Formats: sequence, C-alpha cells, structure tokens
Amino acid sequence: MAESQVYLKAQRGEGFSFNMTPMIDVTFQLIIFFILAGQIASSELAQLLLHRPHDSQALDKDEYRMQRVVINVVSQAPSDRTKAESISAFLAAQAREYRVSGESKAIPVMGVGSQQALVNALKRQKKAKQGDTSDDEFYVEIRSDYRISYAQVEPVMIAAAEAGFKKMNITALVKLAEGK
Amino acid sequence: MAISTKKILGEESVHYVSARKRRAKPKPKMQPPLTPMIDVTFQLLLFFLLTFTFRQAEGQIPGTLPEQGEGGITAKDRLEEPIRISLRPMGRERQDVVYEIQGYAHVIKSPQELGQVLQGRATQSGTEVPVIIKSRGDVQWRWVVEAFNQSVRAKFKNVGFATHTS
Repeated sequence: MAESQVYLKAQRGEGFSFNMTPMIDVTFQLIIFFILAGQIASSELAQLLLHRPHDSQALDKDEYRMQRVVINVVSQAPSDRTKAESISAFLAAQAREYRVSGESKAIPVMGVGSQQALVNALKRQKKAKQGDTSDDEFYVEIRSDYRISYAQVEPVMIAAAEAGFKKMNITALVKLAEGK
Repeated sequence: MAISTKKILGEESVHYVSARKRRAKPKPKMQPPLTPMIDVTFQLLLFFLLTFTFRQAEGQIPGTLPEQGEGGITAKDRLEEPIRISLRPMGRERQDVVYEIQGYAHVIKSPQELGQVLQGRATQSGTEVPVIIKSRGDVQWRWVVEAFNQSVRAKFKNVGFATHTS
C-alpha cells in the first residue's frame, strides 16, 4: 500500500511540515475580495430595504450608474430584512435622514431647514458631477427604504426638481431569474 | 585514516571533501516565523466573513420628476387626457394599498391587477398618453414603486408624479 510522505516521515521519527504557501495565498485572495466588495457596497449606497416590484422593470444600466446623484432615504427602523416584520410599521415609515452621494454629512429629515439643505446639496453635487453631460442624460436616483411613507419621499422629488434635475430614476430590486 | 569523499551525481570522478569542510556547521535555513502572520490573516478573514453582507442586485426604473404643474407633464401632453392613478392606504397599520384609476369604476387591490388595467389602456389609447401617479402621504413607498413599475411595464413613455402642492 502506498503511504504518504508525511506518514512515512512520521514513522521514521523525522519532523514534517505542511506546505502553508497555497493556503496563505488563498486566504489573502479572500481578504482582498472582501475588502474591495465591502468598499463598493458602502461608498454611496446606504444599506436599505429595497422593494422588488411584481415583474420588476428595473434595469442595471452602466449609463444610469455613471451619470447620477444618488439620494438615499434612510428609515428610523434598522435595515435588517430578517427583523423587518417585527418592527413597528409606524417607526419604519418615518425617514431618519437623507444621504446624498458625494456629501460627507447626512441631512436629518426632522432638522430645521432640511428641505433647503437638501436642495443645496443636490445643486452642489450636480455642479460637481455633471460636467459636459446634458440635463437629459444626467439623473437623480432615489433610493428609499420600501417601508417609508410617501410623504417622506415626496420632498426629495421636489428638491431634485428645484435643484434643476430633469431625469429621475427610482431604485428597485431587479426581477429574479426564472426558477428563483 | 579513511579519506572522505563525495560522489557527485552523473560524474565518474570522486571528489575529496576536506576535514574542515566536514566539521563546519551547515548554514541554518532562513525561515521567518509565519505563525503570527497566519494568525492575523485568519482573524481578518473571520472578521470579513462574519460582517460581510451580500448586496441584492438592484436597478433603476426611469421616470419624470414633478415640475410646476403635474408630474413634469408639458402643455402638449396636457392636450391628451392623462391617466391618473390615485393611491390610498388600507389594512392593518396602513400597510396595504388600493389603487384607483380615473374613469375605471373598480377599485384595484393588487399591482398585478393594476398592470392588467394599464396594459388595456395602453392598447386602447396608445403609450404616448401621460400617466400621473398621485399618492396619499401615508402610503408606503413600495406601493408607489409598484404603480410606477406597472406603468413602465405597460410601456407608457411619460410617467410622472403629482405633488401635493401641484
């Protein structure tokens, strides 16, 4: 019967060692993956509970991702899908803050002058990101938690229109592939 | 005295190895301690594995922002009678919705049904007709997204929102 080198060495009383190099290689590859994927997820998109509409028409186009300003409407309730049903609907319907991509500070919804602050933030980001892109190709993207009431999202649309945006995209989960 | 020799593989001749060379200690192998690095690496891997959450695939549904007037609908569009979808909440903690379409006698209770009615309208009067979504403030955002999605699904080209100030 063929015996492994490690087994034979152990039988002879010789010291043996595992080759750790491939394992360390794989481990580093995994760490790099997690670091990169984590950064992409947190740069401008807040963690929210998004809705998947019936027969969703949502498209993940490159052009939408490139020329846009994202407004995240964050709920008072935590964005944990597993606990979503146990959280009070009233609490979840209240928005806590608006997060505009590119802005370092979030805008509290209940704060004094929050509407004007939102308009100013959108104007700033439009100026910074639009460049040579025409108004018809530059989007404002509304990403809102699905539990939030419409009354909390409507001011975002009004602010975007006031800031000079013409095109709006609504973020939703894309249609699941057949059989899922 | 035995003469120390060394046989080199592939060579016939036998090489002499001096006594000094034989006495000399073999050079120690350079082996940096890998254990702490592996420890830290595994700690990092474990941290990322536990904290990582996969994002679900999301996309965008294109629409029109509300302007002065109703839902960014221009004066030219206004010549055509728009399809007005109204949303009001219902059910426990107002978590459900009913849709009403102007000129449609029945109350619509599901997005699927709304989609069917809108597709009928699109076949009847074309997809150029503007669609205006007007929702009450206490309706959950998901139902507004559903109305919007069904309008886009029915191939309407101009879907907008009416604000409470318009």
